[in-house]
Amino acid sequence: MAKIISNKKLNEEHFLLTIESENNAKMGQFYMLSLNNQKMMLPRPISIYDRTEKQLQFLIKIGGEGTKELSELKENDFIEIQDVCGNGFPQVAGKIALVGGGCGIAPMNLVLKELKAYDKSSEIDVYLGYGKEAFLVEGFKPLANEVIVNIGGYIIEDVDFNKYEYIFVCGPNIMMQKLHEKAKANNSNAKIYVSLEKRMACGTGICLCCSTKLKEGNKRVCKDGPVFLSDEVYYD
Amino acid sequence: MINRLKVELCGIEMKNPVILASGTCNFGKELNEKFDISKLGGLSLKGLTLNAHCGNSGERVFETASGMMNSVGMENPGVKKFIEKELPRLNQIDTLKIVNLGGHSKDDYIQGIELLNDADIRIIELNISCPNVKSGGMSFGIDAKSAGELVGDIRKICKHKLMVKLSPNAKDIVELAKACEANGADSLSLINTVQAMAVDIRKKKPFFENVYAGLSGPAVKPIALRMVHQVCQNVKIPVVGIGGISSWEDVVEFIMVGASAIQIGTANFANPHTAIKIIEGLESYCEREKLKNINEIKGII
Repeated sequence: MAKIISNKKLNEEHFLLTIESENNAKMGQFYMLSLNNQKMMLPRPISIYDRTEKQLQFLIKIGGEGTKELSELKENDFIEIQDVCGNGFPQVAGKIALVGGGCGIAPMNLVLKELKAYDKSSEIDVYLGYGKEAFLVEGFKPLANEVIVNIGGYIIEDVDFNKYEYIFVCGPNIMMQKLHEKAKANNSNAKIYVSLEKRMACGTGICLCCSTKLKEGNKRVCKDGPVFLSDEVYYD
Repeated sequence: MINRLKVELCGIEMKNPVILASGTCNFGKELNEKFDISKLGGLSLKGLTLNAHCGNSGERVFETASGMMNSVGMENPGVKKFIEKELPRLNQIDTLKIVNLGGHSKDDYIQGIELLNDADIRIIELNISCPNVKSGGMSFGIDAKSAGELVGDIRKICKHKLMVKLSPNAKDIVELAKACEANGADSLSLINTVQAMAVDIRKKKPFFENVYAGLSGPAVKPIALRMVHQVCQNVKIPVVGIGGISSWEDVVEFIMVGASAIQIGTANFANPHTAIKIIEGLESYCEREKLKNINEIKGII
């Protein structure tokens, strides 16, 4: 069981949940958060926004009953969490773009921190796309080379596809697809990694509910992913 | 120390009556990273078909009140690849491995069984109850006559013990069970998932591409318990109870109505350590109740 340290409402849809939990999680990985509710027995897959050795922080969007319940957790409440899940983003250095759409900005915060810790000479631009209002932008500024924010439009319109060696993306499927297409159209040499989202039951690779057809066959988003090379993904 | 949980299934000794249900433990590898799976009574492995199958497209899971629906659709590597790639590793692990086999046609089943005949396994769980494949699967398991014929044909050629997994969607679960027993089944397991449906009201469409999917979890447990009770009253072969088990108390209920062993499914998804907690709970229960063996409560209801 993990103790809730704080649960901060950012706006009507998003909140930042901080819990006490010893961990050695890496950027792009996620946790299965259980609800204290007999009615909803499946845990919720939530990516890591930030961490220390003893704490985990999650940026969560209220999407349904389960995430709504997580938003109502109070300081000193407890929730059950399991081991860290998924592969995470690769450690790379150089000219890098991090592109997050909506709640897809969540993993990029830790990615920025870890990539800068890995090689402080890396030049990392952060692109944040929001539907209605921006949030958590300031947190990216100290480490990013530049933070580009787009509200209500298409963040990928702002990306210079010929500037980067690596592009990491997380957001709605349509955004990742458009980014992939635009990169190809611009003859970008960047290696693009996407973090996919799929409905999951187990998070441990045993149920095959999040199995997705990639170019080298079916892969489990929870266990083989969630991060894949964009070239491996079929966008439809 | 005496093992109060030791049970026997089709003449095969098991450390305890707790088996992980097919489709909820894959081939054991992922869970073995989390705990020592040799502590389990057994594993019913991911359902196989003769040839590899990529499973259903579209969404595959939908949460319901105290349960979930799945439409995975028998994604699996096929029998041959299983024997080459998975079985040698599994056979290093000291727990009962149950090989679950499904099929789209009688020929599929027969050829699958023939390939498995030479493999180092002891028990096959014949899946005639999967609601998530378009042809075959559950269609064999609805009607007692067609199920009996299929089981009889397979029994003639199968060298291993044969457990038949029954569908709650059967026209008459008792008749189905009796037909399987009469045609040579060594054991029965029930229930598979209950055929169910979800609607996406925003898209004004069924949620699943296949329209119908399989419901599992605590929501179906009372139905499963009733069916296991009815079947146990009417057959002599051992019955493995399945359906929404998520606590040691649930296991005790299934054993009291006559189950020789049980399988845990959906609860593995909620927490992969569920089975271990249940085994510990059963040990304490036997100790408290001063049972020399859990079998002492078998079929007392």
